[in-house]
Amino acid sequence: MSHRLLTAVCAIALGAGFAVPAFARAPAVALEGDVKLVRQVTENGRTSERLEEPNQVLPGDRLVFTTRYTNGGAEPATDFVVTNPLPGPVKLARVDSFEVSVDGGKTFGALAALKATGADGKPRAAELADVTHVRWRLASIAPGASGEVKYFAEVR
Amino acid sequence: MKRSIQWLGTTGAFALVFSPALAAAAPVGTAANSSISNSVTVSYNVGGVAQTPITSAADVFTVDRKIDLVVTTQDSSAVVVTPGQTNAVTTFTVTNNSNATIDFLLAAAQQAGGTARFTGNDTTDLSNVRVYVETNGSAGWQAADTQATSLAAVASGDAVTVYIVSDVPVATAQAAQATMILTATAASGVTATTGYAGTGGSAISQTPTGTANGKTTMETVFADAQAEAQTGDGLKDGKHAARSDYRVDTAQLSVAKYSRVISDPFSGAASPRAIPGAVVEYCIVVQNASTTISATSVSVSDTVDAATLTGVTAPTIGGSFNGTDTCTGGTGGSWTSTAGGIYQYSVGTVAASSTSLVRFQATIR
Repeated sequence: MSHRLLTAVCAIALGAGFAVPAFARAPAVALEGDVKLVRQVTENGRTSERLEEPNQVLPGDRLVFTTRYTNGGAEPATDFVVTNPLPGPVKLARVDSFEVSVDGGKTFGALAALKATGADGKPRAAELADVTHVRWRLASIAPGASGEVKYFAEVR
Repeated sequence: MKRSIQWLGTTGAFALVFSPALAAAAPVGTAANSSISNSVTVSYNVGGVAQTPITSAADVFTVDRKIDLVVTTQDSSAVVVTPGQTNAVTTFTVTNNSNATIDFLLAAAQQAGGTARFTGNDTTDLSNVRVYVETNGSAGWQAADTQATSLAAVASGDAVTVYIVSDVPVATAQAAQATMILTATAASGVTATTGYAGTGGSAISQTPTGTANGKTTMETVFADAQAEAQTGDGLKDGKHAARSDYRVDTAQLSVAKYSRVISDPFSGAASPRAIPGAVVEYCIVVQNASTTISATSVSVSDTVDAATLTGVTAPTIGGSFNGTDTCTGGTGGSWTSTAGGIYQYSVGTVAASSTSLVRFQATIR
Protein backbone atom coordinates (compact mmCIF):
# COMPACT_ATOMS: atom_id res chain seq x y z
CA MET A 1 0.00 0.00 0.00
CA SER A 2 1.37 3.34 -0.94
CA HIS A 3 0.96 6.30 1.23
CA ARG A 4 2.21 9.67 0.36
CA LEU A 5 1.73 12.91 2.13
CA LEU A 6 1.84 15.89 -0.06
CA THR A 7 1.74 19.19 1.58
CA ALA A 8 0.07 21.73 -0.55
CA VAL A 9 2.02 24.45 1.11
CA CYS A 10 5.33 23.08 -0.12
CA ALA A 11 4.11 22.74 -3.65
CA ILE A 12 2.79 26.23 -3.63
CA ALA A 13 5.96 27.63 -2.11
CA LEU A 14 8.11 26.05 -4.81
CA GLY A 15 5.80 27.15 -7.55
CA ALA A 16 5.66 30.70 -6.34
CA GLY A 17 9.33 31.14 -5.63
CA PHE A 18 10.07 33.26 -2.64
CA ALA A 19 6.91 35.24 -2.76
CA VAL A 20 5.43 33.55 0.23
CA PRO A 21 1.71 34.16 0.02
CA ALA A 22 -0.63 34.95 2.82
CA PHE A 23 -1.80 31.37 3.10
CA ALA A 24 1.66 30.00 3.76
CA ARG A 25 0.40 28.10 6.75
CA ALA A 26 -2.37 26.56 4.73
CA PRO A 27 -3.53 23.12 5.82
CA ALA A 28 -1.97 19.96 4.51
CA VAL A 29 -4.29 17.70 2.59
CA ALA A 30 -3.20 14.08 2.59
CA LEU A 31 -4.34 11.47 0.11
CA GLU A 32 -4.09 7.74 0.38
CA GLY A 33 -5.15 5.39 -2.38
CA ASP A 34 -6.13 1.80 -1.95
CA VAL A 35 -7.43 -0.96 -4.18
CA LYS A 36 -9.06 -4.19 -3.12
CA LEU A 37 -10.37 -7.15 -4.96
CA VAL A 38 -14.06 -7.84 -4.33
CA ARG A 39 -14.37 -11.61 -4.03
CA GLN A 40 -17.74 -13.32 -3.94
CA VAL A 41 -17.69 -15.91 -1.19
CA THR A 42 -20.44 -18.46 -0.75
CA GLU A 43 -20.60 -20.02 2.70
CA ASN A 44 -23.46 -22.13 3.98
CA GLY A 45 -25.51 -21.14 0.97
CA ARG A 46 -25.14 -17.43 1.63
CA THR A 47 -23.13 -15.28 -0.70
CA SER A 48 -21.19 -12.41 0.69
CA GLU A 49 -18.46 -10.14 -0.61
CA ARG A 50 -15.01 -10.14 0.85
CA LEU A 51 -12.27 -7.62 0.15
CA GLU A 52 -8.85 -9.02 -0.63
CA GLU A 53 -5.49 -7.66 -1.63
CA PRO A 54 -5.27 -7.54 -5.45
CA ASN A 55 -2.67 -10.28 -5.64
CA GLN A 56 -4.47 -12.59 -8.00
CA VAL A 57 -6.35 -10.45 -10.49
CA LEU A 58 -7.94 -11.85 -13.63
CA PRO A 59 -10.19 -10.36 -16.30
CA GLY A 60 -13.73 -10.08 -15.00
CA ASP A 61 -12.66 -9.59 -11.40
CA ARG A 62 -14.28 -6.74 -9.49
CA LEU A 63 -12.14 -4.12 -7.81
CA VAL A 64 -12.89 -1.29 -5.46
CA PHE A 65 -10.64 1.75 -5.67
CA THR A 66 -10.70 3.92 -2.56
CA THR A 67 -9.08 7.26 -1.94
CA ARG A 68 -8.93 8.49 1.65
CA TYR A 69 -8.39 12.16 2.29
CA THR A 70 -7.47 14.02 5.42
CA ASN A 71 -7.40 17.71 6.00
CA GLY A 72 -4.49 18.01 8.37
CA GLY A 73 -4.53 21.77 8.41
CA ALA A 74 -6.14 24.38 10.60
CA GLU A 75 -8.48 25.80 7.99
CA PRO A 76 -11.31 24.24 6.01
CA ALA A 77 -10.51 23.03 2.53
CA THR A 78 -13.33 24.11 0.26
CA ASP A 79 -14.43 23.24 -3.27
CA PHE A 80 -12.67 19.94 -2.81
CA VAL A 81 -12.66 18.13 -6.17
CA VAL A 82 -11.23 14.63 -6.50
CA THR A 83 -10.63 13.57 -10.10
CA ASN A 84 -9.78 9.94 -10.77
CA PRO A 85 -8.90 8.78 -14.29
CA LEU A 86 -9.86 5.14 -14.68
CA PRO A 87 -6.91 2.85 -15.42
CA GLY A 88 -7.22 1.60 -19.01
CA PRO A 89 -7.66 -2.10 -18.17
CA VAL A 90 -10.72 -1.51 -15.97
CA LYS A 91 -14.24 -0.38 -16.64
CA LEU A 92 -16.63 1.20 -14.21
CA ALA A 93 -18.85 -1.44 -12.63
CA ARG A 94 -21.63 0.81 -11.42
CA VAL A 95 -22.55 4.43 -11.10
CA ASP A 96 -22.51 5.94 -7.66
CA SER A 97 -22.61 9.32 -6.02
CA PHE A 98 -20.05 10.81 -8.36
CA GLU A 99 -19.87 12.49 -11.72
CA VAL A 100 -18.36 10.69 -14.67
CA SER A 101 -16.69 11.69 -17.89
CA VAL A 102 -16.72 9.72 -21.11
CA ASP A 103 -14.50 12.11 -23.07
CA GLY A 104 -11.19 11.89 -21.26
CA GLY A 105 -12.08 14.30 -18.49
CA LYS A 106 -13.19 17.25 -20.59
CA THR A 107 -16.82 17.19 -19.44
CA PHE A 108 -18.45 15.60 -16.45
CA GLY A 109 -22.01 14.75 -15.56
CA ALA A 110 -24.39 11.93 -14.73
CA LEU A 111 -23.80 8.89 -16.92
CA ALA A 112 -27.40 8.85 -18.12
CA ALA A 113 -27.01 12.40 -19.45
CA LEU A 114 -23.83 11.76 -21.40
CA LYS A 115 -23.41 10.65 -25.00
CA ALA A 116 -20.66 8.57 -26.54
CA THR A 117 -19.83 7.82 -30.15
CA GLY A 118 -21.06 4.45 -31.33
CA ALA A 119 -19.29 2.04 -33.65
CA ASP A 120 -21.28 3.51 -36.51
CA GLY A 121 -19.98 6.99 -35.74
CA LYS A 122 -23.32 8.20 -34.43
CA PRO A 123 -23.92 9.43 -30.90
CA ARG A 124 -25.47 6.93 -28.51
CA ALA A 125 -26.19 6.85 -24.79
CA ALA A 126 -22.97 6.48 -22.81
CA GLU A 127 -22.40 3.17 -21.05
CA LEU A 128 -20.37 2.15 -18.03
CA ALA A 129 -17.60 0.89 -20.30
CA ASP A 130 -17.26 4.35 -21.85
CA VAL A 131 -16.37 6.07 -18.59
CA THR A 132 -12.86 7.50 -18.57
CA HIS A 133 -12.91 9.54 -15.36
CA VAL A 134 -14.89 9.77 -12.17
CA ARG A 135 -15.07 12.92 -10.09
CA TRP A 136 -16.30 13.75 -6.62
CA ARG A 137 -17.06 17.29 -5.46
CA LEU A 138 -17.14 18.05 -1.78
CA ALA A 139 -18.13 21.51 -0.61
CA SER A 140 -15.88 21.66 2.42
CA ILE A 141 -13.67 19.53 4.61
CA ALA A 142 -13.30 20.77 8.11
CA PRO A 143 -9.85 20.94 9.72
CA GLY A 144 -8.84 17.54 10.95
CA ALA A 145 -11.69 15.86 9.11
CA SER A 146 -11.17 12.91 6.86
CA GLY A 147 -13.23 10.74 4.60
CA GLU A 148 -13.05 8.51 1.61
CA VAL A 149 -14.39 8.25 -1.88
CA LYS A 150 -14.55 5.03 -3.83
CA TYR A 151 -15.67 3.46 -7.04
CA PHE A 152 -16.19 -0.10 -8.17
CA ALA A 153 -14.65 -1.31 -11.39
CA GLU A 154 -14.20 -4.54 -13.26
CA VAL A 155 -11.07 -5.76 -14.98
CA ARG A 156 -11.78 -5.76 -18.70
CA MET B 1 10.30 -3.19 -10.60
CA LYS B 2 7.24 -2.16 -12.45
CA ARG B 3 6.63 -4.22 -15.54
CA SER B 4 4.02 -2.62 -17.64
CA ILE B 5 2.39 -3.42 -20.91
CA GLN B 6 0.93 -0.70 -23.02
CA TRP B 7 -2.80 -1.24 -22.94
CA LEU B 8 -4.41 -0.78 -26.31
CA GLY B 9 -7.95 0.39 -25.94
CA THR B 10 -8.96 -0.43 -29.51
CA THR B 11 -8.76 -4.16 -29.64
CA GLY B 12 -10.32 -4.50 -33.09
CA ALA B 13 -7.00 -3.69 -34.70
CA PHE B 14 -5.62 -7.09 -33.68
CA ALA B 15 -7.89 -8.85 -36.12
CA LEU B 16 -6.05 -7.42 -39.08
CA VAL B 17 -2.83 -9.19 -38.16
CA PHE B 18 -4.05 -12.69 -38.94
CA SER B 19 -4.81 -14.32 -42.24
CA PRO B 20 -8.51 -14.74 -42.99
CA ALA B 21 -8.33 -18.54 -42.89
CA LEU B 22 -7.69 -18.50 -39.18
CA ALA B 23 -10.48 -17.43 -36.94
CA ALA B 24 -9.29 -14.31 -35.18
CA ALA B 25 -11.36 -12.63 -32.54
CA ALA B 26 -10.96 -9.87 -30.05
CA PRO B 27 -8.62 -10.73 -27.19
CA VAL B 28 -10.36 -12.13 -24.15
CA GLY B 29 -9.98 -9.63 -21.35
CA THR B 30 -7.10 -7.49 -20.26
CA ALA B 31 -3.77 -8.90 -21.38
CA ALA B 32 -1.87 -10.81 -18.71
CA ASN B 33 0.93 -8.85 -17.05
CA SER B 34 -0.79 -5.53 -17.75
CA SER B 35 -0.39 -3.03 -14.95
CA ILE B 36 -3.42 -1.37 -13.45
CA SER B 37 -2.38 1.94 -12.02
CA ASN B 38 -4.78 4.23 -10.22
CA SER B 39 -4.17 7.71 -8.91
CA VAL B 40 -6.35 10.70 -8.18
CA THR B 41 -5.91 14.41 -8.48
CA VAL B 42 -7.44 16.77 -5.96
CA SER B 43 -8.05 20.44 -6.33
CA TYR B 44 -9.31 22.54 -3.43
CA ASN B 45 -9.44 25.98 -2.00
CA VAL B 46 -8.28 27.26 1.31
CA GLY B 47 -9.52 30.59 2.49
CA GLY B 48 -11.07 31.08 -0.91
CA VAL B 49 -7.72 30.71 -2.68
CA ALA B 50 -7.13 27.88 -5.09
CA GLN B 51 -4.31 25.59 -4.02
CA THR B 52 -2.00 23.70 -6.33
CA PRO B 53 -3.72 20.42 -7.17
CA ILE B 54 -2.17 17.40 -5.57
CA THR B 55 -1.94 13.91 -6.98
CA SER B 56 -1.91 10.70 -5.02
CA ALA B 57 0.79 8.13 -5.48
CA ALA B 58 -0.16 5.57 -8.10
CA ASP B 59 -1.40 2.29 -6.76
CA VAL B 60 -0.07 -0.35 -9.15
CA PHE B 61 -0.81 -4.02 -9.47
CA THR B 62 -0.50 -6.60 -12.22
CA VAL B 63 -3.18 -8.53 -14.05
CA ASP B 64 -2.44 -12.24 -13.78
CA ARG B 65 -2.51 -14.84 -16.53
CA LYS B 66 -5.78 -16.70 -16.76
CA ILE B 67 -5.49 -19.94 -18.70
CA ASP B 68 -8.77 -20.84 -20.32
CA LEU B 69 -9.30 -22.90 -23.44
CA VAL B 70 -12.18 -24.63 -25.14
CA VAL B 71 -12.09 -27.55 -27.55
CA THR B 72 -15.24 -28.27 -29.55
CA THR B 73 -16.02 -30.47 -32.52
CA GLN B 74 -17.27 -28.92 -35.73
CA ASP B 75 -18.98 -32.18 -36.67
CA SER B 76 -22.72 -32.25 -36.05
CA SER B 77 -23.09 -36.01 -36.45
CA ALA B 78 -20.85 -39.04 -36.82
CA VAL B 79 -18.53 -38.84 -39.81
CA VAL B 80 -19.58 -41.63 -42.19
CA VAL B 81 -16.72 -43.81 -43.35
CA THR B 82 -16.41 -46.98 -45.38
CA PRO B 83 -14.16 -49.96 -44.62
CA GLY B 84 -10.69 -49.45 -46.09
CA GLN B 85 -11.11 -45.68 -46.36
CA THR B 86 -7.95 -43.70 -45.75
CA ASN B 87 -7.70 -40.19 -44.33
CA ALA B 88 -11.12 -40.06 -42.74
CA VAL B 89 -11.47 -36.68 -41.02
CA THR B 90 -13.09 -35.45 -37.82
CA THR B 91 -12.90 -31.71 -37.25
CA PHE B 92 -12.33 -29.70 -34.07
CA THR B 93 -11.82 -26.13 -32.95
CA VAL B 94 -9.34 -25.10 -30.26
CA THR B 95 -10.11 -21.64 -28.86
CA ASN B 96 -7.76 -19.68 -26.60
CA ASN B 97 -9.91 -17.86 -24.04
CA SER B 98 -6.87 -16.95 -21.94
CA ASN B 99 -5.85 -13.34 -21.55
CA ALA B 100 -2.48 -14.12 -23.05
CA THR B 101 -0.98 -15.63 -26.17
CA ILE B 102 -0.16 -19.25 -25.39
CA ASP B 103 0.80 -22.48 -27.11
CA PHE B 104 -1.11 -25.75 -26.97
CA LEU B 105 -0.12 -29.41 -27.03
CA LEU B 106 -2.48 -31.53 -29.12
CA ALA B 107 -3.24 -35.18 -28.51
CA ALA B 108 -5.68 -37.50 -30.25
CA ALA B 109 -6.93 -40.59 -28.43
CA GLN B 110 -9.42 -43.31 -29.18
CA GLN B 111 -12.16 -43.82 -26.68
CA ALA B 112 -12.21 -47.29 -25.12
CA GLY B 113 -15.87 -48.22 -25.37
CA GLY B 114 -18.71 -46.36 -23.73
CA THR B 115 -21.16 -43.81 -25.06
CA ALA B 116 -20.20 -42.23 -28.33
CA ARG B 117 -20.29 -38.49 -28.92
CA PHE B 118 -23.45 -38.40 -31.01
CA THR B 119 -25.50 -41.60 -30.84
CA GLY B 120 -24.85 -45.19 -29.78
CA ASN B 121 -21.60 -46.54 -28.43
CA ASP B 122 -17.94 -46.61 -29.32
CA THR B 123 -17.36 -50.13 -30.67
CA THR B 124 -14.17 -50.08 -32.71
CA ASP B 125 -10.87 -48.31 -33.21
CA LEU B 126 -9.35 -46.88 -36.36
CA SER B 127 -5.70 -46.97 -37.37
CA ASN B 128 -3.01 -44.48 -38.34
CA VAL B 129 -4.51 -41.70 -36.19
CA ARG B 130 -2.88 -38.33 -36.88
CA VAL B 131 -3.48 -34.70 -35.91
CA TYR B 132 -3.43 -31.97 -38.52
CA VAL B 133 -3.72 -28.21 -38.16
CA GLU B 134 -5.56 -26.14 -40.76
CA THR B 135 -2.75 -24.19 -42.41
CA ASN B 136 -3.38 -24.04 -46.14
CA GLY B 137 -6.33 -21.67 -46.01
CA SER B 138 -8.79 -24.03 -47.72
CA ALA B 139 -11.72 -25.11 -45.61
CA GLY B 140 -11.67 -28.78 -44.68
CA TRP B 141 -8.75 -31.15 -44.41
CA GLN B 142 -6.35 -31.44 -47.31
CA ALA B 143 -3.04 -33.26 -47.43
CA ALA B 144 -1.46 -29.81 -47.73
CA ASP B 145 -2.54 -28.95 -44.20
CA THR B 146 0.15 -29.51 -41.61
CA GLN B 147 0.49 -32.56 -39.40
CA ALA B 148 1.44 -31.31 -35.96
CA THR B 149 1.65 -32.13 -32.27
CA SER B 150 1.22 -28.57 -31.01
CA LEU B 151 -0.19 -25.17 -31.75
CA ALA B 152 2.18 -22.22 -31.59
CA ALA B 153 1.37 -18.72 -30.37
CA VAL B 154 -2.42 -18.71 -30.41
CA ALA B 155 -3.43 -15.15 -29.52
CA SER B 156 -6.06 -14.42 -26.91
CA GLY B 157 -9.51 -15.00 -28.36
CA ASP B 158 -8.29 -16.84 -31.46
CA ALA B 159 -9.68 -20.18 -32.63
CA VAL B 160 -7.77 -22.76 -34.66
CA THR B 161 -9.22 -25.64 -36.68
CA VAL B 162 -7.63 -29.00 -35.90
CA TYR B 163 -8.32 -32.31 -37.66
CA ILE B 164 -8.02 -35.88 -36.50
CA VAL B 165 -7.25 -37.93 -39.61
CA SER B 166 -7.47 -41.74 -39.48
CA ASP B 167 -7.64 -44.82 -41.65
CA VAL B 168 -10.48 -47.35 -41.46
CA PRO B 169 -9.43 -51.03 -41.36
CA VAL B 170 -11.03 -53.00 -44.21
CA ALA B 171 -12.48 -55.52 -41.77
CA THR B 172 -14.45 -52.90 -39.84
CA ALA B 173 -18.07 -54.00 -39.50
CA GLN B 174 -21.10 -52.17 -40.76
CA ALA B 175 -22.41 -49.62 -38.20
CA ALA B 176 -19.26 -49.86 -36.07
CA GLN B 177 -18.39 -46.57 -34.39
CA ALA B 178 -15.03 -45.17 -33.37
CA THR B 179 -15.00 -42.17 -31.02
CA MET B 180 -12.01 -39.84 -31.12
CA ILE B 181 -10.91 -37.52 -28.33
CA LEU B 182 -8.88 -34.38 -29.06
CA THR B 183 -7.22 -32.91 -25.98
CA ALA B 184 -5.49 -29.55 -26.02
CA THR B 185 -3.14 -28.62 -23.16
CA ALA B 186 -1.99 -25.07 -22.46
CA ALA B 187 1.73 -24.99 -23.15
CA SER B 188 4.77 -22.88 -23.79
CA GLY B 189 7.94 -23.36 -25.79
CA VAL B 190 6.28 -24.69 -28.94
CA THR B 191 8.29 -24.18 -32.12
CA ALA B 192 6.12 -22.91 -34.94
CA THR B 193 6.34 -24.78 -38.24
CA THR B 194 3.57 -23.54 -40.54
CA GLY B 195 0.88 -21.13 -39.41
CA TYR B 196 -0.34 -22.20 -35.99
CA ALA B 197 1.13 -25.69 -36.44
CA GLY B 198 4.12 -26.42 -34.26
CA THR B 199 6.26 -29.03 -32.59
CA GLY B 200 7.59 -29.55 -29.09
CA GLY B 201 6.62 -27.43 -26.12
CA SER B 202 5.70 -28.34 -22.60
CA ALA B 203 2.59 -27.88 -20.50
CA ILE B 204 2.15 -24.70 -18.49
CA SER B 205 1.99 -25.11 -14.72
CA GLN B 206 -0.36 -23.20 -12.54
CA THR B 207 1.22 -21.07 -9.87
CA PRO B 208 0.89 -23.38 -6.85
CA THR B 209 -1.92 -22.38 -4.53
CA GLY B 210 0.45 -22.27 -1.56
CA THR B 211 2.73 -19.77 -3.27
CA ALA B 212 2.52 -16.24 -1.97
CA ASN B 213 0.89 -14.03 -4.55
CA GLY B 214 2.72 -10.94 -5.62
CA LYS B 215 0.73 -7.84 -6.28
CA THR B 216 3.06 -6.81 -9.09
CA THR B 217 3.99 -10.24 -10.40
CA MET B 218 2.06 -12.24 -12.95
CA GLU B 219 0.66 -15.48 -11.59
CA THR B 220 -0.81 -18.21 -13.75
CA VAL B 221 -4.28 -19.43 -12.89
CA PHE B 222 -6.17 -22.25 -14.60
CA ALA B 223 -9.77 -21.32 -15.32
CA ASP B 224 -10.80 -23.91 -17.92
CA ALA B 225 -14.05 -25.85 -17.73
CA GLN B 226 -14.34 -29.61 -17.47
CA ALA B 227 -15.11 -31.38 -20.73
CA GLU B 228 -17.35 -34.43 -21.15
CA ALA B 229 -16.58 -37.21 -18.69
CA GLN B 230 -15.46 -39.66 -21.41
CA THR B 231 -12.55 -37.38 -22.28
CA GLY B 232 -11.00 -37.72 -18.83
CA ASP B 233 -10.63 -33.93 -18.69
CA GLY B 234 -10.61 -32.21 -15.32
CA LEU B 235 -11.85 -28.86 -14.08
CA LYS B 236 -9.22 -26.10 -14.08
CA ASP B 237 -6.41 -28.40 -15.20
CA GLY B 238 -5.08 -26.33 -18.10
CA LYS B 239 -6.61 -28.78 -20.57
CA HIS B 240 -9.83 -29.17 -22.46
CA ALA B 241 -11.09 -31.83 -24.81
CA ALA B 242 -13.86 -32.71 -27.23
CA ARG B 243 -15.04 -35.84 -28.99
CA SER B 244 -16.34 -36.79 -32.39
CA ASP B 245 -17.36 -40.10 -33.94
CA TYR B 246 -16.65 -42.10 -37.05
CA ARG B 247 -19.42 -44.45 -38.10
CA VAL B 248 -18.99 -47.19 -40.67
CA ASP B 249 -21.77 -47.14 -43.19
CA THR B 250 -21.21 -49.18 -46.30
CA ALA B 251 -23.21 -50.67 -49.11
CA GLN B 252 -24.68 -54.01 -48.04
CA LEU B 253 -24.94 -56.12 -51.14
CA SER B 254 -26.55 -59.50 -51.35
CA VAL B 255 -26.89 -61.61 -54.44
CA ALA B 256 -29.31 -64.48 -55.14
CA LYS B 257 -29.93 -66.56 -58.21
CA TYR B 258 -33.32 -68.01 -59.06
CA SER B 259 -34.28 -70.38 -61.84
CA ARG B 260 -37.44 -71.77 -63.36
CA VAL B 261 -38.20 -73.94 -66.35
CA ILE B 262 -40.24 -71.97 -68.81
CA SER B 263 -40.77 -74.55 -71.56
CA ASP B 264 -39.87 -78.07 -72.58
CA PRO B 265 -39.97 -79.71 -76.02
CA PHE B 266 -43.07 -81.76 -75.23
CA SER B 267 -45.48 -79.69 -73.20
CA GLY B 268 -44.22 -76.23 -74.23
CA ALA B 269 -44.89 -73.49 -71.69
CA ALA B 270 -48.01 -75.12 -70.27
CA SER B 271 -46.42 -77.44 -67.76
CA PRO B 272 -42.71 -77.47 -68.46
CA ARG B 273 -40.37 -80.07 -66.98
CA ALA B 274 -36.61 -79.83 -66.61
CA ILE B 275 -35.87 -82.38 -69.29
CA PRO B 276 -33.19 -82.20 -71.97
CA GLY B 277 -34.13 -79.51 -74.44
CA ALA B 278 -36.10 -77.54 -71.86
CA VAL B 279 -35.44 -73.78 -71.51
CA VAL B 280 -34.48 -72.54 -68.08
CA GLU B 281 -34.68 -68.87 -67.13
CA TYR B 282 -32.26 -67.61 -64.53
CA CYS B 283 -32.73 -64.41 -62.55
CA ILE B 284 -29.84 -62.91 -60.61
CA VAL B 285 -30.99 -60.46 -57.95
CA VAL B 286 -28.42 -57.97 -56.57
CA GLN B 287 -29.79 -56.06 -53.58
CA ASN B 288 -28.25 -53.15 -51.67
CA ALA B 289 -29.78 -53.11 -48.19
CA SER B 290 -28.01 -49.92 -47.12
CA THR B 291 -30.38 -47.01 -46.81
CA THR B 292 -27.65 -44.46 -47.40
CA ILE B 293 -24.72 -45.78 -49.39
CA SER B 294 -24.58 -46.76 -53.07
CA ALA B 295 -22.40 -49.60 -54.30
CA THR B 296 -20.46 -48.71 -57.39
CA SER B 297 -18.65 -50.79 -60.06
CA VAL B 298 -20.83 -53.81 -59.30
CA SER B 299 -20.25 -56.70 -61.69
CA VAL B 300 -22.10 -60.02 -61.87
CA SER B 301 -20.31 -63.17 -63.03
CA ASP B 302 -22.14 -66.42 -63.63
CA THR B 303 -20.34 -69.63 -64.43
CA VAL B 304 -22.57 -71.64 -66.72
CA ASP B 305 -21.88 -75.37 -66.74
CA ALA B 306 -21.28 -76.07 -70.43
CA ALA B 307 -21.74 -79.82 -69.84
CA THR B 308 -25.40 -79.39 -68.95
CA LEU B 309 -26.42 -76.03 -70.37
CA THR B 310 -26.17 -74.51 -73.79
CA GLY B 311 -27.70 -71.65 -75.74
CA VAL B 312 -27.19 -68.94 -73.15
CA THR B 313 -29.10 -65.87 -74.27
CA ALA B 314 -28.11 -62.24 -73.99
CA PRO B 315 -29.10 -60.83 -70.62
CA THR B 316 -32.17 -58.76 -69.92
CA ILE B 317 -31.44 -56.01 -67.43
CA GLY B 318 -33.80 -54.53 -64.87
CA GLY B 319 -37.51 -55.18 -64.68
CA SER B 320 -39.09 -56.56 -61.56
CA PHE B 321 -38.75 -59.63 -59.35
CA ASN B 322 -41.79 -61.36 -57.88
CA GLY B 323 -40.01 -62.43 -54.72
CA THR B 324 -40.05 -66.15 -55.41
CA ASP B 325 -38.46 -67.10 -58.72
CA THR B 326 -39.72 -64.90 -61.55
CA CYS B 327 -38.28 -61.80 -63.14
CA THR B 328 -40.28 -59.87 -65.67
CA GLY B 329 -39.73 -56.88 -67.88
CA GLY B 330 -36.45 -55.11 -68.28
CA THR B 331 -34.47 -54.13 -71.35
CA GLY B 332 -32.05 -56.07 -73.46
CA GLY B 333 -28.37 -55.91 -72.66
CA SER B 334 -25.23 -57.75 -73.51
CA TRP B 335 -22.56 -59.67 -71.62
CA THR B 336 -19.35 -57.77 -71.08
CA SER B 337 -17.48 -61.05 -71.22
CA THR B 338 -18.32 -64.69 -71.88
CA ALA B 339 -14.78 -66.01 -71.78
CA GLY B 340 -14.32 -69.52 -70.36
CA GLY B 341 -18.05 -70.04 -69.86
CA ILE B 342 -18.12 -67.23 -67.30
CA TYR B 343 -20.84 -64.82 -68.25
CA GLN B 344 -20.07 -61.40 -66.84
CA TYR B 345 -22.31 -58.36 -66.78
CA SER B 346 -21.35 -54.96 -65.46
CA VAL B 347 -24.23 -53.71 -63.34
CA GLY B 348 -22.49 -50.45 -62.39
CA THR B 349 -24.03 -48.62 -59.46
CA VAL B 350 -26.58 -50.20 -57.15
CA ALA B 351 -28.14 -47.30 -55.31
CA ALA B 352 -29.08 -47.39 -51.63
CA SER B 353 -32.22 -49.44 -50.92
CA SER B 354 -32.43 -50.65 -54.50
CA THR B 355 -32.19 -53.90 -56.47
CA SER B 356 -30.59 -54.69 -59.82
CA LEU B 357 -31.75 -57.66 -61.92
CA VAL B 358 -29.95 -59.68 -64.57
CA ARG B 359 -32.05 -62.26 -66.40
CA PHE B 360 -31.05 -64.81 -69.06
CA GLN B 361 -32.13 -68.13 -70.47
CA ALA B 362 -30.29 -71.35 -71.25
CA THR B 363 -31.24 -74.73 -72.68
CA ILE B 364 -30.68 -78.04 -70.92
CA ARG B 365 -28.58 -80.39 -73.01
